This record gives sequence, structure tokens and C-alpha cells, in this order.
Amino acid sequence: MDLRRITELAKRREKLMIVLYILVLFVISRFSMLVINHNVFGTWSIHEFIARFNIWDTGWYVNYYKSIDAGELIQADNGQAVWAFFPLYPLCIWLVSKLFGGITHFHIIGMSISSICFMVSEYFAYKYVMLTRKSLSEAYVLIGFMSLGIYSFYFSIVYTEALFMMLLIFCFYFLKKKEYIKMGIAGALLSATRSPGVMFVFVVLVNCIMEYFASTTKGHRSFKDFVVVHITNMRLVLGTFIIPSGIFSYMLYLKIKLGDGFAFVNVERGWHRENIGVFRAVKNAMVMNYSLILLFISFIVTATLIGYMFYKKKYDEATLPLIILVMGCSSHLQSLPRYMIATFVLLLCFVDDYMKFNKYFKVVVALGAIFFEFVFIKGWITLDPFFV
Amino acid sequence: MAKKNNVASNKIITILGFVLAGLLLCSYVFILVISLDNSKTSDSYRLFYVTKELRFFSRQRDFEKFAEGQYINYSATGDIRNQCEGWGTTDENGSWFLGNTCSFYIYSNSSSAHILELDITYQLDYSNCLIVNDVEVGPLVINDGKALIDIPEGVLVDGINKFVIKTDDTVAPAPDGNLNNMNIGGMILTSK
Repeated sequence: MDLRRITELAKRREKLMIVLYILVLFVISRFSMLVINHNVFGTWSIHEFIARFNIWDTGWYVNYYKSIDAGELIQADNGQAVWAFFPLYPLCIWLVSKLFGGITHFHIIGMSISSICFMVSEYFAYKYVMLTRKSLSEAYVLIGFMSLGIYSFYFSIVYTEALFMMLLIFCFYFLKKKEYIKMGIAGALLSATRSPGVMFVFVVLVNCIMEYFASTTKGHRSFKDFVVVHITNMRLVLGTFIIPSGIFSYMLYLKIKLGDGFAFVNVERGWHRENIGVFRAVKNAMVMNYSLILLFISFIVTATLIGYMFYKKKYDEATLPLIILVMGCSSHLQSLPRYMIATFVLLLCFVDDYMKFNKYFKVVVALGAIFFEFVFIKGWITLDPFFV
Repeated sequence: MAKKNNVASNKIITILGFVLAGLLLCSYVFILVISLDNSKTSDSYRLFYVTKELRFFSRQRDFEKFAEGQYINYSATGDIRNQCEGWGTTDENGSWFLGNTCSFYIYSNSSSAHILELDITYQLDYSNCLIVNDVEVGPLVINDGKALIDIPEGVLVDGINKFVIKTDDTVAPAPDGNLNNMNIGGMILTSK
């Protein structure tokens, strides 16, 4: 057997082990959700389990499914409406439902889609770590935290987090591999999943600047040269221009359907939300209210991690979380933790440093993450507003 | 020869790629421009979501019920979804004024002269003024809990009309904290 064949087999074995690892952790983590549900409500009923986990915005995704089916966007009497949510995820549920002969088990379909997206995103997280960090052990640790760490339950319920994270990892992976058209297609789907997805264009820009600085010496850099180098790269230009097509397609649809292309922004009024700016939103959270204090702590932790990423010169990876933090907190801090966990790079940044901890501290941190995940799962199924 | 063909096809792909990128950019600008115009949305949609004037959402078919000839009941059993800013709580007597300005919308069938009749539970003892579609119509004169005011021809428009009541801001706050102690029980707009 030649060396190439041996290397190929070793690589294949490595991938197979990662897939098995992902599957095993998925089963363990999702079984733990079932156990916690049993401990809280005293039932092993799968029906009950699905109902308890699919709460809050889940109803809107089901309504969106019904809207696609009926061709009429659902709007509540208080002004809240389905078009506040982006269409790709409910569209996936609708497509799968139709593929299986029109079955209407929305929650089961949605949870299956989320779970598959989650496992695919873990696999691509491994590929991304191998590409950018070249550390198999870090890939294993990262997948461990993704599966068992805090907020991982979001990735198996009828929420967009899993789909968003999967597409975002695709974007990062193809950006780093310089496969810009694939990056653009993933980005287009990302911007059709949630509005901050379109902001990936800024990650591309920051990445270009970083690469330009890395490939040139001080005396040979100029703005003109930077523009010429990048604007003549057809694949980079086209790939970047494809990214916003998801959100713009949705705007066109809303314009035709409702007469307002910015309906997805304006509909926030139905939730009594207005843009008050990050500082006022943070100030509002600094009151002695359990839920808001937790959100305030989440904000501080997130902002510190993003600052740390900039300090470590991971500008490209830090850009999107920073934009999402500013966008997400411009009216309130609600939902901030799940927005942040779905950015993936924050967790990756944490794992980068986790790898340098001594082994006792590693164990303590890992157990702490698992413990808090259990606490958070309990909080979620008992309708704690912190997790909305 | 094959190398030459390869170079040529690569050039064509590159050009097509740039053309496609250009087309995408143009379509984004086009969508952005048409999205800025929301004049084709319904009145209730525009006033609630876009200009954020209405306090409560109502569907267009419900909103159109706030029309001339219809008595609009502002008590707790009525419907206050044509209210804009400047309103406080609603009780069995009607809706309370909050601050110095309150406003509401009513549909009219024509621009001819109309009369607006208001049921005012508490009398005003300070100066006030009714403004319709940014035109100052005059003060509300209250007798026996009713205020009648003539709206001259040309002030109203065929469609949605904004009514604003402004009161003297030098009045001291009422004991309940409202700057102006006024309560409107209901109203009706009729053509003369």
C-alpha cells in the first residue's frame, strides 16, 4: 500500500470517527432533554416532550407553514404577523411535509430538520477547525461543547438557530477555502433565514482586508491596489453579490404581497418594539429583574468575548457577532443568548482558549457547561422568559 | 489550440460572472427603491406599522368602520382603535386625555361641510382648539357634556382624516396626574 493510500484511509477513518462521535453525542444530548422533561413533568410521553420544547416563536413558524400552504400571510389581531420571520426555515418544513405526502406533523418535521442541520453544522465545524486551526482535538472539543454545552437545546427545536448556524459555518468554510460561489449560495440562504445573515458581506470584506495585509508588505500597500486586486476577482465579486439575494428576494415578495418591502422591519410594532439603541436597551436591562439581569450578564459576556476576539486579531470571525450584537440589542436584549450561540464563532473562540487550560480546569468548565445546559433546558420547558 | 480555447472560455465565464454581479446589484437597488414607497399599503397598515401613529392595530375592514355617520364609542365597551397619540386609560365614561394633544382618525365620504359632535364627560375650563388635516378649525365649545363644531367645506378629504385636539398647556396637572382633565365618551361626524 502506498503512502497516499494510507493517508487517504486515515483521513476517511478520521471522518468516520467524527460522524460517529457527532451521532453518539447527539443521542446522549437529546436523551438528556427527554430525561429532564421527565424529571420536571413526570412523563416519558414523546408527544408531551415535543409540545413542551416547541414553545414561544415555534407557533409562528407553524403559522408560516400554514401561510405558505394557504398562500395568505397570517396576521394576528394585535398586529403581530408571520412576516416578522424569514421564510427559508418554514419553507423547508413545508417542502418536507409535501415530500412526505402532505403530513402535518409540523413539530416533528421541524425538529428533524433542525437536528439534521445541527449535525451537518457540527461536521462542517470540524472541517472548519481542521482548515483554520489544524487541530483534531480542538474539533472534538468544539463538537462536544456544541452538543452538550449551554443552549444546545435550541438546535433541536422548531427554531431557526440550527439552520442559521449550519449555513453560517458553510459561509465561513467556503470563504476560507476561497470557494466564493459556494459561499455566496450559502450566504443567500443565510440571508433568507434571518436578516442578520446579509451582514456576512462585511465578514467577506474584513477577510479580504486581512488577507491583503498578510500578503503585502507595508511599503507596497495602497487602497487603489486593494480595490484592483479584489474587484478583478470575478468569483469573489459574484459570490459576495449573491449573499444579499435571499433578503432582497423576501423584500420583493413582501412588496408584491403587502405593498411594503420593509414589512419585516415595520411589523416589530406588533410586538411593541422600537429601535431605542443598544445603550438604552442595556440600561433597561440593568434593573433588578431576574430575567433581565440574566440577559444583561449575557450581554456583558458576549461583548467581552467579541472584544477578546478583536484583541486576538480574529477580526473576520469577530465581525458578524459584533454586528448581530448591535442589531439584536437595538430594541431589547431578549433572545440575545440564542442569537449569539448560533454565530458559532463565539464558541469557537472560547474553545481556542479552552484548549490551553490545564486538565482539571478543563473538566470543571466542561461539567459546568453541561450543568448549566441542564438548568437552561429546565428553564426553557418551564417557560422562563429569559430563553424566548 | 486547446489551451487557446480554454483561455477564451475562461474569459467568457469571467465576463458573464461580472455581468451577473452587475445585474444582481441593479436588482438590489431597484428592490430597495420600490421598497421605500409604501403608498400602496392600506390606511390601517400604514398608520400602525409605518408612521406608527395608531395606538392599536386594526384590520382595514375594521378601521373603515370609523367613518362619518357612525357613532364612535370611546368607553370601555366601545372601540378606540382609531386613536393616535395623547390618550390615557379608557373607562366606563370614555377615554382620558393625556398631555396637551390627542388625535384620532375618521373616514369621510366627501370634502363638504361637516359637523363633529363629541361627548365630553368633563368640561374644559381652559382654551382648546380642533385641528383637522393640519387646518385649525376652531375651539370646542362645550354645553351639557357635548361639543359641536362646524368643519367648513374643503377641510376634510374624501377618505381618511386626522383630527387633533390641542389644549392650553399652561393648565396645572389634574389630581390624577393627567395634565388636562378631559374625557371623551364618544363622537360622530355627520355631513351638514
